[in-house]
Amino acid sequence: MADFVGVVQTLLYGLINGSVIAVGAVGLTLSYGVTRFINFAYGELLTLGAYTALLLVGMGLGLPVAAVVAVLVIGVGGVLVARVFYDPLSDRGALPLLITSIGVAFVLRNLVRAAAGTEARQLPVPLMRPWVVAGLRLNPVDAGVMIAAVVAMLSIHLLLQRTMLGKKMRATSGNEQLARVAGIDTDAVVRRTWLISSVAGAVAGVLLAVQFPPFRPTMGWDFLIVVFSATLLGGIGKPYGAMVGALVVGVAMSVGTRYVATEYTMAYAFAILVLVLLFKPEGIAGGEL
Amino acid sequence: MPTPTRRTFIGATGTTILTGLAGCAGSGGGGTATPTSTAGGSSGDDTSTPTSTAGDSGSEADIKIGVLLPFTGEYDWVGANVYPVTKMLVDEINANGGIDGRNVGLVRGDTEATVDASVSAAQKLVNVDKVDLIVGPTSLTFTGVKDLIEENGIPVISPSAGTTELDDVGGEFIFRTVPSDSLGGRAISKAIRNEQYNGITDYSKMGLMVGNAPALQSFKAPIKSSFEEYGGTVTNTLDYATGKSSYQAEVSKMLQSNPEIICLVGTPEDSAKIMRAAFQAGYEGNWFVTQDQTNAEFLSLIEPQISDGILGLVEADNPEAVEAGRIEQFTADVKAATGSEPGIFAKNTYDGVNIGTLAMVAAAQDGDVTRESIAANIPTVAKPPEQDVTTYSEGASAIAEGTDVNYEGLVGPCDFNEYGDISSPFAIMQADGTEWNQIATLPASEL
Repeated sequence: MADFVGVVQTLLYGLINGSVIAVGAVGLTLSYGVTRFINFAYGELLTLGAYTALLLVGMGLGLPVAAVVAVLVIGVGGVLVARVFYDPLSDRGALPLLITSIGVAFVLRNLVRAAAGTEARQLPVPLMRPWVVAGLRLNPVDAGVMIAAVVAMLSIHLLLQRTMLGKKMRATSGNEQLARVAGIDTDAVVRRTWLISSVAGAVAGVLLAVQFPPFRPTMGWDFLIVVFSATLLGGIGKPYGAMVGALVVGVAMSVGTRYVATEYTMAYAFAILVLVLLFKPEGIAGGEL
Repeated sequence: MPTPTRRTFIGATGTTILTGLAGCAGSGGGGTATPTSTAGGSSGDDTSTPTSTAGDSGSEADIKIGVLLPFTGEYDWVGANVYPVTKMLVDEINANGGIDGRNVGLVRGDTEATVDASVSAAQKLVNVDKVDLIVGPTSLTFTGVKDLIEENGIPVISPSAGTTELDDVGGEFIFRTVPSDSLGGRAISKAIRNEQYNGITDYSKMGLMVGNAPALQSFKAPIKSSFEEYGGTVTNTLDYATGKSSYQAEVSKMLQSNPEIICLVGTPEDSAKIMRAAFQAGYEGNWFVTQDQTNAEFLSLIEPQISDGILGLVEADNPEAVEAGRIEQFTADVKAATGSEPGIFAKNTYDGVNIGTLAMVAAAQDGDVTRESIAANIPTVAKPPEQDVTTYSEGASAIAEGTDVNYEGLVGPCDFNEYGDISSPFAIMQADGTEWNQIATLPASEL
């Protein structure tokens, strides 16, 4: 019995972590789907989200308000970064953009370092004991983070399926030239995609900072590897695949750490990734979206 | 715009991840970033660059001391804590006429806390600068330079390398004025097992969590084996990956073994995450942490509900030095010389440099100051039952008069054993909200 509870508990932790990874992975995969290059500066959006929230809290805002404002600010900031650094290179193919994004990542990370210092920081999150139901423990903070992550993913789902922008994004993602011929202003779609992608990144950053304090300016870069593996696992460019991929990665890391060996957490995520790439290279979601 | 295939995407991603990781590694990464970086302030700042000649006497100095430590990178605080104390002592020696009329110069070698950089820096110190004594290095790079030191017969006094890998290699050229982690580990186990030291209870079921970095792993075997030797049970020994964002699964595994207390060897940041995860998972037992976390910065990372009552261990000051006011004097001297409080390893440095320079005086008295004669004199100037001395000037005058001396330090009596190790007392600390209070002293004789 105790062991069964332990297994369920481990799965639960995996799902909670996976839900935060999922928000990050969806943002990354959306931007890839539309722009066709992988944004290595994406991790810095997570960091910027967390540090902007921290800055706003320091200015006297309550955490929920600070979090929302930070997410919006970074959403707009992400679009600016894309316009300044990526748009001028957009017709040069994926590789120059990719290399540029690595440079942008270094610049952003070091700007955060210069502004906020390298020491560990934290948001004012209340420390709480867990709720215990049938031997299972769920911390209110974790529950809150999970709900926020689900809401974020649901919003993206509704956006993609129920709005004109979503349709345009899917069309652009499917075949940019065809979308353009059909009268879609793909440049506008790309800009809005950057906004949504940056918002998702900032949300993931704030959730990560709330759930696992303390954090440093390297938090986003460190987390990027996990986000990448979830994105690839789900089939790059496919938002629903990324969500599933993230949950699988979260659960794999949790179960591997708990039942195999504690010192190789990342390895479990990558082991699953390698297996999927070997046997189902289009990603677990397969097909379109 | 050409649409890259999945294959080219994955290829490009792989290459870029590797490039990115290489860049990350070069800059020290962030995961295991050290906690104590603020401990020493920036008191080591002066205008000379790493591996350049510093001090008053420059490269024309007759006797040279190399300081082989990280001055850049995430462990730069070690160099920043040690170098100013070394410089303060050397300046004083030179102001009083040097050693046997010869000026003492200081040369820095930056190990960057990596083995590669430490080997180049050590080679330069040994072959180009031709230093007579090395102060350093840290545990992180000692194994890389050990052979070079021994082949060239360079006397080395480390104020900072506690690693158990050095437990049986020193004594001829290698000495240290910091107790081995073996001793620190035994002290931790002793303190946990005995109410007399922890003031709470004779804990018998301990969980042990150790980060998988070499400097942390060095504590694992000593803590585990001595806790069992003292009659306790280690419920689970768990190595965890450092620098992760979450530790729920690790904590969950540890808590399943039902420990009364968990001994946590890790960086302050990881420790804060682990302790918070345990609290959030309902853990009600206690914690014991090591010197890395037994400081005010660590307490600022965790809430008082978690930190209240946790135990920690630090090296204690030599009781005789405290009584005689020498610790107070040292703190005032360092503040006057550098403008900031002495940081971690500052007292160890004071003792190491005093012993090294006294060994030079003794070597000069015997005939000539060579690497070999300095090494031979290091253990003898700190050995009882000769005349006790506590400062360089006191010791140098005594030696000049033909008296054999026994240096008594700030961290302990500094009597080297056959492997060049010292023992020192430890202080058991308990956190009370935002500060640590000393609750007991554990003399070295009890370990």
